[in-house]
Parts: sequence; structure tokens; C-alpha cells
Amino acid sequence: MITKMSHAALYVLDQDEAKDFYANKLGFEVRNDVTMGDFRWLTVAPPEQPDLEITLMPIKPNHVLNDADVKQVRELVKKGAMGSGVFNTSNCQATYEELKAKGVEFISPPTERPYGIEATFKDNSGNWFSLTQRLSQ
Amino acid sequence: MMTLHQRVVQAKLVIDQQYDQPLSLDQLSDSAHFSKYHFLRLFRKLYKVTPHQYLTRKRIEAARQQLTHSDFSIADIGFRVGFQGVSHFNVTFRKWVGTYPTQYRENTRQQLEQAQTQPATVIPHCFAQSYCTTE
Repeated sequence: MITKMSHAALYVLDQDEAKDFYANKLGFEVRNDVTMGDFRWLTVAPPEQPDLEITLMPIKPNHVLNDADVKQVRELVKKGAMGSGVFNTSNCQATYEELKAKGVEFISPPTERPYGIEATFKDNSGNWFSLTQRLSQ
Repeated sequence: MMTLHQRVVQAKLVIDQQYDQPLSLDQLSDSAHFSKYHFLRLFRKLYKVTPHQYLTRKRIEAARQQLTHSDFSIADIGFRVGFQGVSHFNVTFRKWVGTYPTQYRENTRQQLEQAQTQPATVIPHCFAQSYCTTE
């Protein structure tokens, strides 16, 4: 049986800028930043979640993407069509205020939903995320 | 006019930026313009931890970073992140992280060195195979 997810991949437009955003705006830990040949393996995660690594993937030609794909994927990432996920918070309003003060771009402010309070924001590549305070928290 | 949330966030940001200073509950509650009791209650409500617990967590996070990426001595790192004495730093670090700073430094540096010199030990093969074009 599958026990848990340990890695999730997210395309970003620029790995250095993404690293700065996730580490200095969201407060994530950089878990790995190593290179193998021309591939940079850069992973981040919330400090309180030791068993997950979010891989910030470069968009460049490789065995998976050709030049045309790269162009297309970059456009889709910028458009917000590629990445999405949900981050949990103990208090949506407080985290919203904090991230907004740090310059994070929000798509929607904290709003009551059937499952809790949710705001949505973008990273500096265009990927969007839900910031959710679950009802039980 | 700042909302209640914004005032508590303001105090949290003071901890984020000045965790290496001897911050007191008085200073933090003053920075948010609350009484000590009201501030403590609101902070706990928002962050599920007390301001002191959060401050300690920030200091430990900073210490972990410095133990891994700097050559400062253990005692220096303790002072640099806001602990008043090395024994307090050692005990608190062990309580939060599970190992003493010296052991933590040794372990993480070994892991870091292994990751740098043998990236295949941390990069899943499927990623390396698909995205690495030179090796």
C-alpha cells in the first residue's frame, strides 16, 4: 500500500527567484539544492512538514520537453494553468495579512467555505495555491 | 487603522526579524498595542503556540541553518540566535530537535556533503533520467 507522498513537482520560471519566494516570502525550508550535470534539484517545504519536498522544477529542454514544449509550458505556468495546491494554516486571516505585507499577490481574500476559511495566492511564477484554515483547526 | 489580526501579525514579524534579540512579552505586546494578557490570548488563538514558544522555534530554525551552513562555534551560534548561554542553547536545541547541536551539525553536514558529491542519493532516478541531459 502507498503510505504517503514524499515529493511533488512544480514548474517554476526561474529557480533562483522561486527559491527566494518560497524561502523568504512563504518561510519554507530549502531541503535540497544540488546539481546533477545540468539538472538542479531544488526542493522546499513548510518547516513543520518534514516528510514532504516540493521540487521547484526548471522549464528547459530535456528528455521530456522540446523547445516548443518549453515555450508552451512557460506560457501555461505564467497563466496559472499548470500548478495548484492547498497549503494549510492555523489562521487564514493572519497568514493572509502577513504574506500580503511581504508582497505576495493574492487572487482572493480570506473567504468562508464549507470546509473552512480560504484565500488564494500566486507564487512568483504564476502557480496558484489555496491557503486554507480547515474547520477543525 | 490596523485590524486585530494585523496587530498580532505585526508582533509576529517583530519575532521573525528580531529573534536574536532578548525579546520580552512586554515588548511584544507593546509593539502590538495590547495588554500582555490580551496579546498572549490572541497570539495563541492565531498561531496555536505562545509567543515564547514561537520565539524559541524561530531561534532553533535559525540555529539549524547556521549549524549547517556556517563555521561559527556552537557557543557563537547560540548567542547569535538569541540564547543567553551555551548550556541553555544545548538543552533547548535537544528538546526541540532531538539531538545536541554538535551532533546535528555533524549529521547534516554529512548529509549535505553526500548530496553534493553523490546527487543520485537524493534525486529520484526517474527525475534524473528525464531531466538531466548531460550525465
